[in-house]
Amino acid sequence: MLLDIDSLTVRYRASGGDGDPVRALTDASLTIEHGETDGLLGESGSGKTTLARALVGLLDDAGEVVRGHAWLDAVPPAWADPDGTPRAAVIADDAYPVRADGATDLLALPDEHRRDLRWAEIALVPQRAMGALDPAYTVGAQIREAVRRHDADADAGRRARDALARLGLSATRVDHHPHELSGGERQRAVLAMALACDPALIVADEPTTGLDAVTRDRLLDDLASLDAAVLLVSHDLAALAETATRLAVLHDGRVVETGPTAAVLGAPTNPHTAALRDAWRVGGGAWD
Amino acid sequence: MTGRAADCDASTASSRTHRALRRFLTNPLALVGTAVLGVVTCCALAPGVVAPHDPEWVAYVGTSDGRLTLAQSRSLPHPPAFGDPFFAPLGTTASGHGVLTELVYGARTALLVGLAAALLSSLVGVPLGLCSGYYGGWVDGVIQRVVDVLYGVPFLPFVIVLVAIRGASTTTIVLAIAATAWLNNCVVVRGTTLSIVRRTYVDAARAAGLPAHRIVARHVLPDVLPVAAVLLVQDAATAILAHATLAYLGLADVTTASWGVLLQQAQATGHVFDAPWWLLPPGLAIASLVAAFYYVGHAVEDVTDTD
Repeated sequence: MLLDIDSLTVRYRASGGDGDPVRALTDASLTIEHGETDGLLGESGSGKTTLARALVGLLDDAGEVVRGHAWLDAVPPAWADPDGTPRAAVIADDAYPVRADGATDLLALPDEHRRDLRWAEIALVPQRAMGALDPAYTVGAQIREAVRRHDADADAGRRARDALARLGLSATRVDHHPHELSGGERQRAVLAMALACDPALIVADEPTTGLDAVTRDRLLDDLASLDAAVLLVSHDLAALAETATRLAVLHDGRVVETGPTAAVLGAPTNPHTAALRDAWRVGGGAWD
Repeated sequence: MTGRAADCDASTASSRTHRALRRFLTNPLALVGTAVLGVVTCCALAPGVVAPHDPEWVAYVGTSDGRLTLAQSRSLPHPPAFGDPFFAPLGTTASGHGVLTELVYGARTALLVGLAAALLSSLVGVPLGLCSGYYGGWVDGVIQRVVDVLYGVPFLPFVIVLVAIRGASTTTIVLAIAATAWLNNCVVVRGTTLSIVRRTYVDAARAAGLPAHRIVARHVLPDVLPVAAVLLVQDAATAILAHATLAYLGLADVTTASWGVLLQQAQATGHVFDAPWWLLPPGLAIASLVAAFYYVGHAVEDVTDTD
C-alpha cells in the first residue's frame, strides 16, 4: 500500500482566537495503492483541499491536525540507508514516526523531513494550478529548481525537458515564460513540474477547473497514464468517473463512502453519494 | 545548470532588462529626474571641477589672506556678478563666499544624506518586513509591536536628544532619519509580502519542498523589490528634506557645506527678504533633487511593474 490515511481529523481555529474552532475533517480514512489513480469526490467545502494540504503539511496557519495518521510508503533520506530502507535504529525508536514496513507518518514528521519527501515522494498540484508558475521565471527554470532541491547531482535540464515531453509539451517550452503558454499548456507544465522528481504519489487538487472540454480530456488522459499513483481531488464527478479506479466520497468532513468507482457510482450506499450521482445523471452523465 | 539552460536564463534576463530600459528611457519625467540626479552626482563627485571657486574663496580678495575694506564688507551679500568686481554668477553670502560654490560643494552632503539614510532604512525595513509577512505568527507580532512603539516616537525631539548625545554631525542626522524611516519600509513591505505569499506559485514552491529562505529570495523578493525601490527613492527624498529642515533649525553640522546650512545662514544673518540670490538657489536645489528622486521612483515603479 502506498498511502494509508487513518482517522485524519483537522480543524481550523476561528480568526482572532475567539469562537469555536471549525472542524474541517473528522476521522477521514482512505488508502491508495501504488500506481493507482483514485478519486476524492465532494462538494465545495466538504474538506477535500484540507485533506490534500494536510498530507503535504501545507495547511493554513489556522489549520491544525487534531489526530490521525497518514502512512506513506517512503522514508526521509536522512533516516534511510542508501537503498532507501529505514535504518534499524529509526524503526526501533518510537521518537521516529516510521513503521517497520518502511512507511512514514507524514502528519508526525518534522517540517524539514517533510520537505524532503514533498515532490520527491508526494507531489501536490495545487488548486488554481494555472497560477502555480512564477511569471518571473521560465518554465524550465522552475522545474530545474524543484529537481535540484531534491537531487543536487541530477541533470535538471534534461529532467525538465523529459517531464514536459511526457505530457506532450515541446522541449522548447522550457525556455518560455508562463504567459507564453496557453491555459492547458500551463496546467500540463505544472503537472510536469510535479512529475520531474518521479514521485510515487501525485495529489492533484481540482486540476480540471477552468479548462475547456478538449484540454480537460487531454489532462485526464495524461493523469491516468502516469506511472505514479494519483489522488484526483475534485467536485467534478464526470472527471472522476472517467479516470479514477477507486473513489472516496467526502461529505461535511467525513468519508461517507469508499470503494471501486463502478461500485460507488453503480450502487451507492450513502444517500449523499446517491444524490451526487443523480445530480450528475440529470446533467447528462452516465455510468455503465 | 546546463550550459543551454544557463544561456536561456541569461538571454531572457537580458531581454527583460532591455525592455525595462526602453520603458524607462521613453518616460520624460524619468529622463528629467535622471538628468538632475546626474548633475548633482557630478557636483558631488567632482566639486572642484564644477564650482567656479575653492570653498575658501571670498569676494574681492579671492583665496589670499587680504582683508576686506569697510565698503566691500558693506556690499555683502553681493548680488550676482560676472567679472566686475569679481565672478560670482549666483552672488555671495554675507561672509563673501560664492553661493554657486557653496551650492556645488553642498551637493555631496545632500546626496550622501539622502542615499545613506535611504539605504540604511531599506536594509533594516525590507528584511524585517519580509520576515514579518512571510513567517507571520509570533515573528510578525514582535516586529509589528516594535514598529508600533517606534511610530509613537516624535521625530524632532528624538533628533534633538540624539544630537545632544552624539553631536550635530552628518552621521547623527543620517542615523536619526534612518531610525524612523525604516518603519514605513517594514510596514509596506510586510503588506506586499502578505499578498504575495498567498499566490499559487509561492504555494507551489512550498509544495516543491523549497526551504523558506529560498522561497523568499526567489519568489517573494523579486515582487517586493519594485516596492522597495520606490520606497528607497522616496526615503532619499524625505531624508534630504529632513536634513535641510534640521540644518535650518541649527541641528546640523554648520562646518559642512550643505544646502540647509546655506538657508540657515541667510536666516541667521537677517537676509531672508533682501538677498533672493542667496535664498532661492539652495531652496530650488533641494526641491529639484527631491522631485528628481520622486520622478525616478515613479519610473522605476512603472518599469518593474509585472502586472
